[in-house]
Amino acid sequence: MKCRYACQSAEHLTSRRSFLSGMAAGSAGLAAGLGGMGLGGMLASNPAIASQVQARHKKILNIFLHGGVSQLESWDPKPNTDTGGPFRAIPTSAPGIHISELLPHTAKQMHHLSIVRSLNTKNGDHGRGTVEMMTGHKETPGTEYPHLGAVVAKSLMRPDFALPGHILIRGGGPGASSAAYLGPKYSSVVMNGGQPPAFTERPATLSLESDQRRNAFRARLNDRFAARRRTADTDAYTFSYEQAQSLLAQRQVFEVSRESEADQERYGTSEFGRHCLLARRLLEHDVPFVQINHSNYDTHFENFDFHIEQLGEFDQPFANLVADLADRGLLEETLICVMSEFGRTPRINNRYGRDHWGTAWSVVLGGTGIQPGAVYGKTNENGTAVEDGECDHGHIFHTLLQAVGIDSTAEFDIGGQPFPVADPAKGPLWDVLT
Amino acid sequence: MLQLHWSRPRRLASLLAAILLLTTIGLGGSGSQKPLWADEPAPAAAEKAAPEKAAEEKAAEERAALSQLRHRVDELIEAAAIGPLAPLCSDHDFVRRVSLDLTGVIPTPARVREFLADERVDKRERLIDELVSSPEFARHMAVLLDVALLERRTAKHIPVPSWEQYLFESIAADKPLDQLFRELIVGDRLGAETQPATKFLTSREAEPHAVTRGIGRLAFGMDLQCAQCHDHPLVDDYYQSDYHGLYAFLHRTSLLAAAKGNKLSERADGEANFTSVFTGDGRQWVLPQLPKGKTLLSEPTFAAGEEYTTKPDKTVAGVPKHSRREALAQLLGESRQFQRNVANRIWALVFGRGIVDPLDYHHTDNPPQNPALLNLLADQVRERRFDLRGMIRELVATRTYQRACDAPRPETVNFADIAARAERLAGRLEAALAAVEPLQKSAAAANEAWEQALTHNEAVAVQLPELQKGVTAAKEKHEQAVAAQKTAAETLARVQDQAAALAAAASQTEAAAAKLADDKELAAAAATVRSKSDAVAATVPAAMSAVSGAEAATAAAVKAVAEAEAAVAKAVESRVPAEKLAALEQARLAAVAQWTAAKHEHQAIATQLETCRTAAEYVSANESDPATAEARWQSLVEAWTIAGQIAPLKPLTPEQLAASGMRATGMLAPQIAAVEAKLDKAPPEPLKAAAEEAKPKLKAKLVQQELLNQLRGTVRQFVTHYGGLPGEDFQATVNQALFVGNSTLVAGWLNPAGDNLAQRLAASEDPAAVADELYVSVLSRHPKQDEKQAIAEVLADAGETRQERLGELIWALLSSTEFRFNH
Repeated sequence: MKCRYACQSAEHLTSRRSFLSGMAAGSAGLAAGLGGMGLGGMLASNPAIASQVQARHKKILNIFLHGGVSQLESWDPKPNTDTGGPFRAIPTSAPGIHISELLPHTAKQMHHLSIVRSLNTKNGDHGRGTVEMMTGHKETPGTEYPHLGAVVAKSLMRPDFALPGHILIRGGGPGASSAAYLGPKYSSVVMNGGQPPAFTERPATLSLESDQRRNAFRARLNDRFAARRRTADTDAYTFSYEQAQSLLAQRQVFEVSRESEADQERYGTSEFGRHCLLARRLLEHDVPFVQINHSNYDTHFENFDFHIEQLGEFDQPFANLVADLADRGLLEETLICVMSEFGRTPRINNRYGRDHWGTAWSVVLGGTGIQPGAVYGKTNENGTAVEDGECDHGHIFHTLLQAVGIDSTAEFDIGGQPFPVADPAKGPLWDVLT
Repeated sequence: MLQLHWSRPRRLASLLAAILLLTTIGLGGSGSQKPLWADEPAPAAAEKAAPEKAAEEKAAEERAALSQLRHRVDELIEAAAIGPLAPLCSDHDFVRRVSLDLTGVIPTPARVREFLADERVDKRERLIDELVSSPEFARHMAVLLDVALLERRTAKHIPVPSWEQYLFESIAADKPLDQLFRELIVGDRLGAETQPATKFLTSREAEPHAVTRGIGRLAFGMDLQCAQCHDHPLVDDYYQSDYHGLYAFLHRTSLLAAAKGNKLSERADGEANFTSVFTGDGRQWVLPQLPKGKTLLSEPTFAAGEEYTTKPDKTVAGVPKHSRREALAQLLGESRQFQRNVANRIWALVFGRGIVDPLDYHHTDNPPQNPALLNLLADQVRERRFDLRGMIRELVATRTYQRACDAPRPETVNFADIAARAERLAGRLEAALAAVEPLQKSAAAANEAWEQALTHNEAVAVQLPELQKGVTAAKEKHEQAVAAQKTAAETLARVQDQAAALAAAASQTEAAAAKLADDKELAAAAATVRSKSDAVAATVPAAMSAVSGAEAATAAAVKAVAEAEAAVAKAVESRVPAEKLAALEQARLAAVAQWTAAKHEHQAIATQLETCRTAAEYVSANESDPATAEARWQSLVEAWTIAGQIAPLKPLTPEQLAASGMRATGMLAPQIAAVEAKLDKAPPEPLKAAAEEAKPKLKAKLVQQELLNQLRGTVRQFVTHYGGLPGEDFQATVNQALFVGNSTLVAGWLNPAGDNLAQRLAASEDPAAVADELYVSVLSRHPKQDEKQAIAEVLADAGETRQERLGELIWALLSSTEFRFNH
């Protein structure tokens, strides 16, 4: 028999186990204060969770350069060719790897990073490209796939983790991203312009004392109901309010202004700079998936001037972030990815622009699980085709997940039905992984 | 090709050991005097005057006689039950439960009080009748259908209000569900009023794979998506051919781009075929076939150029004379799998979980929890002509639906009885397993015969165009040969004619020359004529042989034509005739159904035994290993819930939560009043035109329709946070708790305004009255004594913060587990 309806996913096992062990702890009397059990109580009664809290966890930082960054002005320069444009290639801290001179600070961190230079996603449409890179699947009418962040949050979020598992720091680009069949728990929590997420502040009319009183009364009601019937669902529901209280207590996690003045100065006043510092803060607080959107790279006109400007904003904060994560030991548990929906044409159009191009472009990876200072794949001399190691969004998606220890070839069990974690027709780029 | 499996006997030895243990322990004798249930006693019928009571009972009996379905459902559930049956739920649980299930919102406080105070014995029946015929029922069902059919896709193409109105009217008018599905599949071709139904396909961009998946799941309860590119990797009996059989009905349909996505176009040609990405095997021509059902064996054919009623064009939607989509719609109602799926989904709608679970996974290895029950319901769905309202009315009238949700107390469970059941079941399990094997063999044989015939015909269908091309080519060659023969004959005649004329002329000229011997000129002329005559005569044999050659070629061409035609005839002849195919198919469907039924029967007994074993394990762990005992106990409660012995806890949908939150806090009534005022101020045409006595009913209907629009903004916020995709696991998220805790929307519900709950509580001085109003409004029940006490203490302590305290209490009840779940 091939049926696997018994819940085999890690999350199911964990939540079910913790539910049952919680029951066991309180088995003397089902109604004994379970509804009111706070995080502390939960941890005390559940050593499995307590030990998880001690351990650091893997996470992903994804930086999405919306509009499509030019690979020729960034990760795969082709100076002195018909397509190369005006900029030089400069050596980097990774021996043998050259990148565009527009990224001098990043160049000093390349020993932490790797470049995949051989993407051929066969697509030049913004919407489709975004869906493909973010879900690892070709866009399929009538089917919605979960966003990378949702897959990561679902796989890596601990049951007791009160902060959101999937945060989008939005500076332009699309809004909230969907968790599709994984459910609302894993949809992105959006920090628009770096502002704290919605509803993370008590209304002015609600005092802390009042909130505590009403929650205490809620807990009493829940205890009474638990004496009638208690299930994994009722426990999860009760616990979500405990977690909300815990999140409100940690609200300063969302406030980048709490970082030191020196750091704020170092990251600069640009929106992207502040977002990078915020991302560092969130990762330090163990948020499993953080995405920064940086917009806009859609340079059909004046490609070169625009890239000086955009990458000028990108370079220093990004390099700071990589260096800081490395210094603090966070790169050992954090995977960094810099992607776009596609690259830009080698051909320079008559307005000094470059157009949409999915045929031969690059993505940068670094940190946990990734070979440092390496290049995967190769484009031809003037960047018009992939010569070696051709891959696409599906392979990148698998690779990102594998790098943080998620089995991308496994399946999620949703309501008894299996859903592949990533496109089963693709697989990871094993050579990129450590 | 069909791989038939059956499950191995489930570790019988360990099972029997467990049963032995149970019987020797003999826990909980049947003579126990302890109360059977923990809380929530069944309501005692109030004392009444005897004649009045007798009349009411008689009326109730008459109603019961009219409909036996509810009793048959209860009998099947109770016959299969292992262990305790929960008592009927309390009246307050019932009024809340049935309101949520039938109208999508908790009852008003007035309705709760009225119902609790009602002393008639048949008041539950009366409430069911009232709710099931209310316009609220149509609204709630329209919402459920919308979510099930569109799965919360982004609204585009057909406008949402007209789609919702279409669903609302369909329910209100008791449109049979098979007809509804026909309209959803065929769309606007059935008439202007079904134009909104097109949304079912257009919301999927009419993309054939998306539509195939949607119809496979929603109409047949089979998610065939994984079988698109290969046989399903996890489900033994979902084949790639099943997917493409359904796809063949649908792949000729597309969205007409010129109509901005509001129109469907269909071609008259195009056949489905597939190759497995795993094995490379495939089929070149797949006939349209219902999943686990009938094949479209013969289709009308039309001469080239005559296939369309309306020929498709860039701007014109194609309408073929024979529409595959319509053919699917026509076959639907008779499909057993469709009936089973509809029955299962109606059950899930009422009980929160399908008899087959997940809803989209009907297959041989996923047995119905209670096979006889699903069969009964599928029969009833057909016999009652797909009457949604009637089916739901019967289901909510069952004892099963009306059981309490409370978990039993372990000490009240008769474990000895469970052990005795286990012994009997173990005996039946063997017999049930033995019954499976022969049926599996005959199913495989019937399937093989059918497959062979079908693939042969498909191969012929693929060959036939080639063979027909051969006939055409042979006929062309024949025509050419006939023409060549004619030309040769003409040439011969001409040459012979010339030769004869020249021979005569030569003889005459020679005779004349002989007479004028000295005339040299004449002699030369005679010689010339003779030589010409000889030359022409010499070509005659060649012309003659050309003629006979041409004759032979024609004869050969005639033969070739005959041979080509014979090949076509032979191929056509070799096809298994339609009647024979139909018979083979029928035999196959019947054999597979029998085998599946036997297999499900066996699996159902195994599941019952599993419950017995869990009970035995609970008993044995109870003394020594409390953690294991607790886990087993939870599994037991879950198993009893799934078996219909205890009522489930059903989380409220986002729509139920939004509407119930508003009703609890008194925010829904002003919305309804606003809609009514709007209708009074500017009555729409139908309301104006209606007869005076029909107006109140029509208005009530229009209010519910308009309420969908009125609540859309609020509902959307709840959907954003609570999800609510069909088939999704229950999720309680921090975001939801933050939304309830800190959003201005919910905070607004807690402020006194108009006649809302906060205002009513503020206006009351008496703490007992405050407690009662609060609990009845939010939790649809009176507070218990200690709860009244607690409220009184909060208020006594409040002083100047009374308003704030009342807000806290309302919020606490709103965010409680008791509110979050339908219990």
